Amino acid sequence: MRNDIENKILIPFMLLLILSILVLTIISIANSYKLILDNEGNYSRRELDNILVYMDYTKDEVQDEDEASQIVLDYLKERNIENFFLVHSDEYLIKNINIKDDFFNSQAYLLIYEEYEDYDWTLGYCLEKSSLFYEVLDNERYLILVSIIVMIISMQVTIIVSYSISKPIKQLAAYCDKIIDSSSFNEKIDIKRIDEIGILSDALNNMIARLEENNERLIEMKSLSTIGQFAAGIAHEIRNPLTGMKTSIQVLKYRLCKEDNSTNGRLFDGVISEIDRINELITGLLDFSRPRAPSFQETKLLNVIDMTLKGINKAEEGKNIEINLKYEEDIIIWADNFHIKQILLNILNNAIHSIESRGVIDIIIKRIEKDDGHDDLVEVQIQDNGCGIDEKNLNKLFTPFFTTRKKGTGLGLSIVYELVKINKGTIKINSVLNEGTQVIMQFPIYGVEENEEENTNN
Amino acid sequence: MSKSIIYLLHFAIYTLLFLFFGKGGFKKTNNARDFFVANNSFGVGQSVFTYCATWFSAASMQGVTGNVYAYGVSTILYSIAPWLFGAIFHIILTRKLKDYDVITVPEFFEIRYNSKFLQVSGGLIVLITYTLYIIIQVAGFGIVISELLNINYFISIVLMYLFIIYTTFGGLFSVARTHILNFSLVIISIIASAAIVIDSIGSLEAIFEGARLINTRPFSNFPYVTETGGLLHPFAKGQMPPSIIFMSFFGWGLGLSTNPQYATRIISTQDRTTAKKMIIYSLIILSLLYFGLTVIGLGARVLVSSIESINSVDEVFPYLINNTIYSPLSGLILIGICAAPISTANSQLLLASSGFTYDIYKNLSNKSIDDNKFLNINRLFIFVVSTMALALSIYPPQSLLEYGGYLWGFFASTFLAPLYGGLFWEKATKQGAISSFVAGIITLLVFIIKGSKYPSLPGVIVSGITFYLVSKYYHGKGSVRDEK
Repeated sequence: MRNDIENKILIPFMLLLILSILVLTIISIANSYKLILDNEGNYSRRELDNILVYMDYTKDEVQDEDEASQIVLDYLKERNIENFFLVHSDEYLIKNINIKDDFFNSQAYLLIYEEYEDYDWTLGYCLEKSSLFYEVLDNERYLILVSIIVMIISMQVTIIVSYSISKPIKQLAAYCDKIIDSSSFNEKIDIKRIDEIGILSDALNNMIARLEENNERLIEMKSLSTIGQFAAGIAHEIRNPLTGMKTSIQVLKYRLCKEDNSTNGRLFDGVISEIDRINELITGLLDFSRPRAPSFQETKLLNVIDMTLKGINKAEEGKNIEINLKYEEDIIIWADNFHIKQILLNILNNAIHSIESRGVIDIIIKRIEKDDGHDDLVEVQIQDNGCGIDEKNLNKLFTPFFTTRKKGTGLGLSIVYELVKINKGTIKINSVLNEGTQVIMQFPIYGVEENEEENTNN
Repeated sequence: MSKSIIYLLHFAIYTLLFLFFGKGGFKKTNNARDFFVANNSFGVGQSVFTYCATWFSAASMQGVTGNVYAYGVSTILYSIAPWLFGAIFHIILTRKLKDYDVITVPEFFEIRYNSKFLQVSGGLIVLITYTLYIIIQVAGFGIVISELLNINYFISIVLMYLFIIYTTFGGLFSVARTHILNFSLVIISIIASAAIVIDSIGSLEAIFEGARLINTRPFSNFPYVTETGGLLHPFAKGQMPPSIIFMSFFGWGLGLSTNPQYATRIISTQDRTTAKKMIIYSLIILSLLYFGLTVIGLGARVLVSSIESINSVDEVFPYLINNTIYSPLSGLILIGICAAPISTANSQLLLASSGFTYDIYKNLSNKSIDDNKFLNINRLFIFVVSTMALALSIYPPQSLLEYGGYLWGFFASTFLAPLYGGLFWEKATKQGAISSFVAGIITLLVFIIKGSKYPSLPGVIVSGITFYLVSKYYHGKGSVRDEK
């Protein structure tokens, strides 16, 4: 017998049911037995009393004692009373019982008797208790049958209940085993219940879905990390010859293209522009794969934003873009000054690229109150009303080399993500296609970080 | 203590054992294959028990004993030999049937002949035949138990009803587990009865010597007075002529050879070797048990040459244990008599369910039904059919009891040719199978209505000839075997 959950539910219930039914049946039979024993005792007592009354009456009526006793004896013999006995000087005068002689000292008999001293008689009734018990059993046969019927029905119900409880648990266990064995997250468990087991199976399905998602991401990140390291390795080797090539082309252009708008000049410009693009890609690659360790310091956020805004080309390709900075106070954060600038630069550049010709970019700075009442975070929101991002691409935004722009490297937001992370911040991007994008970042405010001192020393 | 109370207490202990044995099937059952054929998992031991327990119904336990009592050893030729003859066909069936890997016999028709019609019709025959047979079993059980336990007949049939539902809900796993208990009790019961009878008379020789001299009427309404020596005569000195024995080979023998309850046992074994061993070992055990029943029947006649208080052969065995050979073992023997119809009825209820749910409902409506839903439909159907059988058993139709013996003839007349022909004859065609099925059942019904005592014979012959001619015709026409 396997000690599975079904048996753990079924067997105790089964034993409990059988025991309860048995106990009830036995109690009921015992009560009936006691009742019949009392009835028989009372009846015998009444009969015996009547006989004694008759004996007294006869004795009074008939003066001769021997004659009187003979009349009574004849009367009793004539009546042939069941279970009756009459003993005179250890000799049975009447014995309508089929039992052993030592019944006087036995508990197995129901004995009702009297001694009639005038005649030296002992008379009474004696019943075998076991025969009364069998009579009770005979009368209670339907009780036994009903107990059997109830027992079968109860067992069937118990089996069905224990089965319905244990089956989904077994399904869940089998499902987990399957996941472990196959290492595949493609399976889904299908238990449609509204109780805790239903909640558990939904939670398990969700958990597995999340696990699958994270697993995929992990595999992708691992692979990208390897690619990134490889790319960074060769980037160094490419950059040096690239510098030589750019210089040589600039010299060649100077020597061969005297006219500014000559065809050769435009070709040389194109080559130089492409070399610059390759250089930019390599720089991004290096920043992403091996970002410089942050140098934590008190960083005035407004100063950094101001410097960044000066560095960006908001009039790119003739666009008309309005940038609004909204804040209540200047907040000092605990971060790397250059990293924050790089982060803002990349995000603002993306925002500008997303606006086709005319648009607005809002930069909002505000303190964030935590649940415990401390305002130890600053939130920087950068939102534009540009082209927005397709929902299906939202979860790939921080993936290296993912880009929707023709000339993009796909490293900008990956670098942002890495830099935010190493500066102990968080980043979230909300976007609606054709409506705009909102980037929300949070950084620790200076003066609340427990390990600021340690970071400074480092 | 009264006899009926002793029996009742034995019955209560049997109930406890029965509940324990039957409890495990539910959790093992996950789909139709588990439910109907125990996922083809039975080894030799389990298979032998379930094969024998299914076989050994009240017709064996009470019928054989009573018939031996009334007719003598000619019962061996009339009943036992045709049954064992039919079982030899099962050995032939084994290899091919296992190859098809089906769950039911009607499903074999669908696969072999590519005919949904045949599967549905087969399912219908299975459903109707077994439902009617269950009514006979329930009613028979009710009569015996109500008399011996001195209880109301309705309560007796309710007990039977609960017993068969309890096991059948758990599918073949549950049914087969209770078969271990039931058939063990049957064996003990027969050995104990035979031993008491031999002990009462003195020896086996004394039984045969005593039986030779009997020349009384076995019971008051029995049509014949047994001639001296008739009990040991192979044809009961004319009471059982060879023609009747020949006919019974068609009704009992061929009916048993096609009876899906045995095909299901073959299918539920692990492999062909197990299935063959199951049949051979079972036939040996059954032969020994029939020898025991023959000894009991003959011995009973020697002990009491005429029983005035009974009206049918089925009452002989219960009368014997309750009166002539009453002993402290009588309670145990009675339980054996109860176990026989229960173990047959629960097998048949499971098959009736497969006939409807698997061969008709699933086949016609929804092939890809969810396993859990399908099992629940089965349990609901089992509940409905058994409740219907219970209701009909309260006042069992007289005609059903009268024609109950012909029920196996339905299988012989409809299943025999398409089943064996489909397995062993390459040229068998769908058209041949359908026409033989229809012709067989029509012939059988016509002969039953005409009042023939042996309608199976023309049914089998017409079905066989139709099958052969139509298959030959269509095969010759270029109709190829529609095997999937």
